[in-house]
Amino acid sequence: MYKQLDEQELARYCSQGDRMAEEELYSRYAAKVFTLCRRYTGNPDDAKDLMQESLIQALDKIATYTYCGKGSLYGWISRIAINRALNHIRRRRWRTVSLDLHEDTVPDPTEEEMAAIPQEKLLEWIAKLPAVRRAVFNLYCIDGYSHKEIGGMLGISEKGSAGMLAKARKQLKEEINRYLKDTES
Amino acid sequence: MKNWEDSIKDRLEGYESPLPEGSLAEFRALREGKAAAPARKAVPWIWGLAMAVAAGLAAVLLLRHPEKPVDGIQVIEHPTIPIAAIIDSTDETEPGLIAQAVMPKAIPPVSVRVRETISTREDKQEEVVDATTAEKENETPETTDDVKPEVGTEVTPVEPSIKTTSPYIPQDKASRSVRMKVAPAAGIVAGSGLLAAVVAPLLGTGVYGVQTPSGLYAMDSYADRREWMPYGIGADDQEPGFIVVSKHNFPMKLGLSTRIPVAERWYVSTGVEYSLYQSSFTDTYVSSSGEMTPWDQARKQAAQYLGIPVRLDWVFASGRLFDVYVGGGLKGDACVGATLGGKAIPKDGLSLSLLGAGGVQMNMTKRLGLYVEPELSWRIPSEKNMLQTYRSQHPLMFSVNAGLRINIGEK
Repeated sequence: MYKQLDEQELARYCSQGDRMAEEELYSRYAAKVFTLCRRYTGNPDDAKDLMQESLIQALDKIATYTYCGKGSLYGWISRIAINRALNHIRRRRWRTVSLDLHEDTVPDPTEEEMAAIPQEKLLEWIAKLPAVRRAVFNLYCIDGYSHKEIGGMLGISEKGSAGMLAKARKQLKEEINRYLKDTES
Repeated sequence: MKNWEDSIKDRLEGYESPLPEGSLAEFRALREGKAAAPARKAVPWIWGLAMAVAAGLAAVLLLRHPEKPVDGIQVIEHPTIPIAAIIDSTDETEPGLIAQAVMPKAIPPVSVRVRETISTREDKQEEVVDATTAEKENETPETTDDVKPEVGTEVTPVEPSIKTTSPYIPQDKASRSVRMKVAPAAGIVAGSGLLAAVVAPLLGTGVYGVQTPSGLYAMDSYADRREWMPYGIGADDQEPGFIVVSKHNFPMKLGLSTRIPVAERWYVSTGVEYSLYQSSFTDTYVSSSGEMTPWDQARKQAAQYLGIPVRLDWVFASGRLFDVYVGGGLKGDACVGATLGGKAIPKDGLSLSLLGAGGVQMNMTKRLGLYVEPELSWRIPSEKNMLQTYRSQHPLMFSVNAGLRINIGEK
């Protein structure tokens, strides 16, 4: 029965404390939230903890959720998870001047090349990015935030956010090109 | 055509990673309130344990006082050559263990010069000279084969005071023994499996010193007699005599360091550092023409120290692979063992140094890094530091340290 519920109904059951509905919500979104948390933390253990905390917080506050179309429940949960992930990064990061070169001369991979790369590889490379670069890349490229919004979220300037993104892009492209060369040979 | 970033977005937006095992059970327990919220593994227990051990060691090194002062020192073989009186150091600022010039009684002119110099010294030193003079008056000169032919003087061998004194160690200083065991300290370092070596000897072979009747002098080179000739022995117009030539090697160090973030860009670096200071002392005969001849085999001194540096570092530049930083702080060094000629001698006292360093750290993994850091340190003068080492010759010392560092917390 619960598998048939739409997002609005599922949220309503959950807000009534229905444990079965909660488990249904978990089974629908846990893996996606876990993937999101892996993207931000770069560490499966931290990602698991964050995922659990985010889903529990979502269920505790689900009465405040307002349905606004298909996919809005996941959007709402993912914002909770992103906020928690950013808090996690803010707590643990120390900013420094970067020594890495800014110049990006690495060629862009093509769409076909990207399609051949397994998702787990992409997550692995994103996990290798330093914490703030990883957060900026995720927020800008995948979750669709602007540099202004990212600056506000991370306490950095817009220019700083753009700089971080450039470095993250360069690092990822290097990883991708290395992988493509290895697979070719 | 999509750019590569859009491709990443498309690939990952709908992707669901396999959940870790037991996630649902943990979730149920959390919802039922049966389990506490997942704990953050900010500092794994092993790092906590390591810090506790380091703190305990620091407390022992810095706070422990010897149960009782050791009177005098252990007996060290006196050089077997028939040498005469021992004269205390003339330099109050250099009261080191090689603070005695060994003078042959068989060479009267030297003792005259010495007497003149010493006449202005403190009472204790005067007593030594007086005793020497008294002995000299009573003795009957006789020839000995041990003296070089060119000396051409008669020598009366004097029994060296082997039983109670050493020519290398002042008698008026009670040794302060810090009872740090080498084994536990080494266990801490080796047990962690994270040792790092400093290959400082590449910087130079060491520093020489000469003890003459009028004081202890540093030399740039053993062969450069002009450095010490003016001080009374060995010059062309001077009488022959004995000196003690010391050579202090650059110290060897082994260290384990850890770095803990305390604020943005600021870190506290601490750890354990083992230092080995090696020196050799040679009784050397100087002829009237200034020719130097080692009179006996060099006696090797090895002093081992265990130190805890505590430094505040500022990382002013950082990359994925490298961090560049400067810092300053303090280091406490406790002598954990000292030998001279293979026999144990009293340990040196606790020494404190001020440090200033800059360095580069290469991050091998998230937690482990290799560092190279030039360091300038100044040892705070203390009467507890009696051993003559490279350090005592250079209270302000430059060294290049390298090693392995554990990074705690995140950048």
